[in-house]
Amino acid sequence: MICPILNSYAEPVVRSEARKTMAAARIPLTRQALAACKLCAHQCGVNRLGGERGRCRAGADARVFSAQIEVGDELELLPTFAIAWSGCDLRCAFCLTHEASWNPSIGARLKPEELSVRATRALATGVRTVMFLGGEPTVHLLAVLETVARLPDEAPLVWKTNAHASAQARALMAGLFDIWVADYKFGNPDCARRLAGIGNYETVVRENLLWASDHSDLIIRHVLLPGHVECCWEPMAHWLSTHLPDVKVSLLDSYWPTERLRLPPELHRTIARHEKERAWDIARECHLNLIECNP
Amino acid sequence: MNTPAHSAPIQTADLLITAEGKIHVHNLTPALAELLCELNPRDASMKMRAEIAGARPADNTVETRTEPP
Ligand code: SF4
Repeated sequence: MICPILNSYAEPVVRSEARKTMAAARIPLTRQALAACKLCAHQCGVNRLGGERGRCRAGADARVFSAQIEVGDELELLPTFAIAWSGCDLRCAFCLTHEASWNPSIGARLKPEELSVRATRALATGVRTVMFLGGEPTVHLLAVLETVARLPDEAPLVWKTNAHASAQARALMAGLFDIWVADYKFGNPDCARRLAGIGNYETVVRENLLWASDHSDLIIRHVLLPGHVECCWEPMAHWLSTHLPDVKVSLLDSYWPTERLRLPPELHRTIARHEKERAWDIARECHLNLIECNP
Repeated sequence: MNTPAHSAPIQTADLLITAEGKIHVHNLTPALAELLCELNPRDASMKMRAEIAGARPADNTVETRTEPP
């Protein structure tokens, strides 16, 4: 079937069968995967069904810390009904939602039936997309699939992710999401290690981005961090211009230091005007397909 | 990770208004977009978001926040 997705997307996602059916068929496999969880690139291998916990600390239970209509994301996706699951596999030093994102015990145990009813009702009132996010939604792929299996096949679905999923998780979600909104946070291994404690960030994120661009529409999002234009944004922009030259890039200057976190020294301020201007210049030099920028 | 398992979901949006009047916000709801647009009508991005929010037919049947379990 062909999913009639948003007008601004020229290439609709083509599915060989109804999305609901595809999602439902993958639910048992996904439940099974939790018995030796390798859903994200940490590949912990723990039995989440049996009470073991990996780096995300999530069990088999999925909680939702917000499910509401939002207008804060990329304009072409809005309004969106955004479902945010608690729990994340990353611990980025600058995370704005930190505890709510990281702690898988926060929020309500909303059943997939209830979430899908709310989302379908929102779509009927003019909401354009349904967005799955976290924390990191990959951690709760089972609950996600149980929800997708109840949503109308033609509903445009957005997967908002840190792009740190494993190949196994990607296979389980192939063909289900019309649009990926993927964070590309760090442009070099040292910053990824220092600010998020991840060893193989570049390899994993690039693998995810290339896969996503083959399987759905893709928006790559980068939040500019103070002091990280040269070390992170510049190499990232060059990689994108070579490997994903036409991809939509959302370059955001919306970082601000939250007082609730112990931040590395360079992250105690918002991004400076000259840094923003340098970032836009780099984007232009690399001929990136920028959306959402306001130089 | 000390939050009790039954704690309530977030009931607030994070918001920062800089000295130059730029508004940064996380978890932007339609109602908040409309409010912030009134606060600073020159913020073009917020204006577009408020317009998108306003274009959607009013609906009171969609609950916008989760409840504690
Ligand atoms: S989702 Fe990732 S971090 Fe969590 S248990 Fe599975 S592999 Fe580990």
